[in-house]
Amino acid sequence: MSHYLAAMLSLQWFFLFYFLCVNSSYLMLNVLAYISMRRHLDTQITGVLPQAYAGFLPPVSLLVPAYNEAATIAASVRSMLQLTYHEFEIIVINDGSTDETLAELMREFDLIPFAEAYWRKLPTRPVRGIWRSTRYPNLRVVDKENGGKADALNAGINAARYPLFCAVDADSILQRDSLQLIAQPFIEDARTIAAGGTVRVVNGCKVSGGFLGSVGLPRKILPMLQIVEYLRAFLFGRLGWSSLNAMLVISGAFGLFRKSSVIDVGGYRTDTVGEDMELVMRLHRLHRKRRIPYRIVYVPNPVCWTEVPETLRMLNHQRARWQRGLSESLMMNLGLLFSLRGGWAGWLAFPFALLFEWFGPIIELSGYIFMVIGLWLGVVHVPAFLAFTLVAIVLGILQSTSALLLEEMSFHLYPRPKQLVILFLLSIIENFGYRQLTLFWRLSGLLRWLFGAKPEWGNMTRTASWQQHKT
Amino acid sequence: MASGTLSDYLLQSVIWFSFAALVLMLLLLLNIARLRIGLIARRKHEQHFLEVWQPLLAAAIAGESDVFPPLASSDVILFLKLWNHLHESLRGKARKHLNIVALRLGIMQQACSLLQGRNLGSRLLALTTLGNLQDRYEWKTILELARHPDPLLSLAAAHALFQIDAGNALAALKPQLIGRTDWPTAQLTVLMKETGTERMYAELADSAISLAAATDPQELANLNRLLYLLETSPYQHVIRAIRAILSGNQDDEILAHCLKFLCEPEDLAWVRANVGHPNWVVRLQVARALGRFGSTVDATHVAALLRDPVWWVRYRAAQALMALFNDDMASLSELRAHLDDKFALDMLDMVAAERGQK
Repeated sequence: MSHYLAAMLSLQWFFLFYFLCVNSSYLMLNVLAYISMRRHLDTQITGVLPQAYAGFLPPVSLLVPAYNEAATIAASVRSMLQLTYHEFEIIVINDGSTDETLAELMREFDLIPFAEAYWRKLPTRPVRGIWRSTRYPNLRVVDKENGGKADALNAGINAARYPLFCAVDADSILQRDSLQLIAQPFIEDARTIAAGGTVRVVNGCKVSGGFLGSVGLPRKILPMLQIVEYLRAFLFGRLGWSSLNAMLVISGAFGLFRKSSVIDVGGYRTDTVGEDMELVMRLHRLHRKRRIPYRIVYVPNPVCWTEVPETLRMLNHQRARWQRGLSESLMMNLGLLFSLRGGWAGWLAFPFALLFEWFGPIIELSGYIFMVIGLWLGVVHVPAFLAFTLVAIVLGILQSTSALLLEEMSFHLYPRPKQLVILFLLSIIENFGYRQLTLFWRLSGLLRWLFGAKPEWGNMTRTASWQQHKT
Repeated sequence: MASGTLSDYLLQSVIWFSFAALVLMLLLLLNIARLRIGLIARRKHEQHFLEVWQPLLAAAIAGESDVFPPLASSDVILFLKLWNHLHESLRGKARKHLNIVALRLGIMQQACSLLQGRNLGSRLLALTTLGNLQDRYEWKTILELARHPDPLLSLAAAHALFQIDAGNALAALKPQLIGRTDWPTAQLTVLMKETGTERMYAELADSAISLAAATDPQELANLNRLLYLLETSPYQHVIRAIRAILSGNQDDEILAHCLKFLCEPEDLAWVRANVGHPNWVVRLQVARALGRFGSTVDATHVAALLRDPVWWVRYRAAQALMALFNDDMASLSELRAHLDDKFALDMLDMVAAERGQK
């Protein structure tokens, strides 16, 4: 019996220690994010003035991988053509779509075959042809055999003419000035090799002519809960890490990269479902290993809006894929962990991702199970159980409230006070089932990866309900 | 937590910790509410402010009004934002009229007091204002700020100094201009484009000439930055500096950078001499230069570059050929018939298609 109690005691201390580590890490990120946001806002005070050096921003190639996007591709490209940026090209990569994606593009943009001297800097599946628009000189379409999103992006990089490329999901809704905002770090600091912007949830918003009209909250609870999650992930997660030059993820929905740096590290890897995260980790690892000064930065301005899953099944798929992507990215870049020149990325962000994000689901779910079983067996007192449940919930809400505060002190995108109240209520509600559910999905993704299950395609059925709100 | 092991002390700590977190959360909530209430009030106030001041400033810009109500201290930041926005959107007389408004309202004193504060945003706004006012009164304070380690603050201060007195600003800040790598070259280029005079470019050209034979990495980096600053110069003496550097410097990056400046037929010798340069970046600039001011005699050089192993060199060479033949498709077809390199042919076809597109 004493062995049994000793084991329980050790476990109890382990969970308590883990709990303290997780929350103090988040607290640290919060503080860093708060400081960074204050500085960012201070520097924005002169942002109301005309940007004198807008014409000096480097030209950008917008890469839009498309697989079976016939329904939305023309509208997406049309809105991208209206971005305010002095010099950019759009390259749509049709990744062997089996629907009418290419035909739709040909019809909408009057495409004709283009004798491109295609430079195969990165290996990809064969390119079947390159087309250009007779109406828009800055629009080209690369038609290639199916090889996945990473392969399509590599083909896009091969065809890109400009020094910076921006990877955009075909269904992303961009702000008109998003390229201008995200390209700024590249002229402010020549060491910048990648920049990520804030991705927000488009469900519930009104979209007109391919651009965001007004911001709203969705009617369904699932996308609403994801709004709070996105605020947490972007506003204090990435902003905090970015201030240490240790941000390990740039969303695949919208990210700007220095093309030469990406080619130097070998482009996107096609053997992972988390190609965006893997690339950023590899950029950190190899730049540090080769002692090349670099910066990977985060622009807190909301630059991209994306549709999030509205059904449990889709969300389950998405989270399991993300966890799998995280697992693969971490394992492919283990060399960064505590490496001699790893810096904050290798000594703090990577262990954080490994311990709390990758292994977290196992420990956290074990903690829940331990508490319940302990309570059932009578080895955990009811007051102790209640006290720890209370602290876990309060800290959970605290994190979300802190993200809401960052949002309110910066961009206050949700115009009505009622929306703020709803978001706060959601940050309470999510602790009763939603967080545990996502934890479970992440665990299943982790286990599937561990046991070598085949990855599934990352396609999400888009409802594009925002399109019905066109005004 | 486990039966008999969890001390009351631990349990109490957890409860107190929860309580503290709860209090913190409530404080954050209160802060959110305060911010939202403040935002609503601010927006109302801002709207009212614009309703009053926008027509007044519009009339002042047109020279139709010179009577203004006193500016409330709570409106200073709003006024500075509006005033600077208008200032940077307008030119000529309108700017002078705006400066008169600012003098009447004592904006300079307000900006000076903001400069003494600690808020970065207000200081940046004050520097922008003082730069636009072009008054030397706060020169020393701004100069001090231009040497501040914070790149944003120091660059804003440098910008203000250049607006106030570009010649003296260059004399005072040349070492920073060349040596501060945290000052983005794009912004410095804009600075020179906006305020650069012939004398200033001559001074920078002299500095570049003094570094012409540089081999030390730091000096080469400085020379490269100087070349960026000279890029916007419309004056002939910059070319003299470039020629001096081309004669005295062996560095590939500097050579490639210098080739960008050349545009006179008398400089073709420099360009032609580097057709076979081992560094592709230099060859790329050679192709561009030949396209810019080469003659049909150079077609053979460019055709050689069309077979280059590097895609970008071939691309620029094909563009240069188009420019050399002035898009004369008959001559190009003749040249094409003599090409046996598949990559060269592909590139020529692609650029021809691009031209057709335009």
